[in-house]
Amino acid sequence: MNRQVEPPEKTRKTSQPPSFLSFSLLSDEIAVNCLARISRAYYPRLSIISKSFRSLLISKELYLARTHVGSTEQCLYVCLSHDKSPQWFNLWIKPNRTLTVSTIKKKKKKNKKTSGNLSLALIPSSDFPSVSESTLVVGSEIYVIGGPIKTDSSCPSSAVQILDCRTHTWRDTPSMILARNHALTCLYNGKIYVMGGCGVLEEPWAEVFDTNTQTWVPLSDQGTGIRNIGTRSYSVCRIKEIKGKTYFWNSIRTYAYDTSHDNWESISESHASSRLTDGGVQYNSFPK
Amino acid sequence: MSESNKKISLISSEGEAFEVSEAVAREFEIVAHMLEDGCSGSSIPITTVDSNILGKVIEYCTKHVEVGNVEGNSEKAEKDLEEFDKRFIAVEMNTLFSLILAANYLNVKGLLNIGCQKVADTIKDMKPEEVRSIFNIENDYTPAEEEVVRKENEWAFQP
Repeated sequence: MNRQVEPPEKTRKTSQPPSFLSFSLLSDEIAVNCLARISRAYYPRLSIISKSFRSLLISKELYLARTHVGSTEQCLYVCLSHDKSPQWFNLWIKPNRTLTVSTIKKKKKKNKKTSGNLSLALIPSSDFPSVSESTLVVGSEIYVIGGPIKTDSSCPSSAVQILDCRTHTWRDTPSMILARNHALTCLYNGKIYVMGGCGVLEEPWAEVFDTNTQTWVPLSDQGTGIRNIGTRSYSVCRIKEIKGKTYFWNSIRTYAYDTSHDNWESISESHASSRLTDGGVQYNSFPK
Repeated sequence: MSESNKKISLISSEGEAFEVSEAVAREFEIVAHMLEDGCSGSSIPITTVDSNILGKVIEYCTKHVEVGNVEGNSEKAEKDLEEFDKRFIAVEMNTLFSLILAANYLNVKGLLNIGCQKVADTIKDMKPEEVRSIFNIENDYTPAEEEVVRKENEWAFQP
């Protein structure tokens, strides 16, 4: 257990005390500065070194340092739910390999677990079996907003769970005012706007969560016309924020919510048929 | 331009004096702050850094000040500096640690950066056991605890 390893022979060459040779005696600040420069793909192996090493690897300080030295990485998270409760995975790419078409193809063939360079690493499940499509990324966290809850496919929920992608742990955050299924959600300026996913007459039809103050507040009334947008299904609706305006639409109609004026608008039909391409994604019925 | 000719003595932990130009001494942010605070006198004791390491840090700063003063052909100068940094930091591990500690204390940001980068590059491909032994880190997991963490990250250990 407690391994005492001989310091390298050249210890005495400089007049530094031998204790300086211990990485654990470098201040945490310096250790974090070093670790921040290593890809996250190496962290699982490094977490075996010692408990203190492991706690450094999941610390907020480390992720601040990663931002500071410009070594932030994009990570892919996947939620799969079939017959079982939803399971979250993180795509792990073996270090020193790059993701190429051939590695993806290989992955597809073998499907689960390891296939050489790629793994879907299972993240410990939360006790909230939501299969909500309403997920948002806020910094290093993924918000899973409302229902449906897997135990009963039609059961809406007001709960909101957060996956901390640094530590791969789940935590609760204050619940919405209303229980919803696949609500339309959008992040703007540290606030999460949530609309629909509920009955036309339910109140509040739309609400907003301030990630700083951690409170939910109803949005102003939008009238029944707008509320009818998801009557058939919310899964055909789309939402997107542009310059502080939250546009949401289905195949026929487009509306907008102006976040600065707490104001709802109907976007004219002539615009509703226009199309917009955004980073390879085509939005139907999107306003110009 | 008499300022730039001013010499400052940096005194190592052994009491050895290193005479450098003020421009080089100012690369040590800790010294720059002392000078700005009106610290007079031309010798500054650096009590936590020994002669060997202080000499190296001065070598690093001198090179960076020199290159910073060259006008024109900045691309080549930058490349030279990169090469210099690479060679400069290719040292054995205990010297590397001493350099990092000195750079941190003296607040020489560039040197701290390349030092930490060197440590990062060195440990990332090592086995956990190697990192422990080279860096003299005590494994404070019980065998059972270590097994749990290994299991959780099983996929990362497959060859």
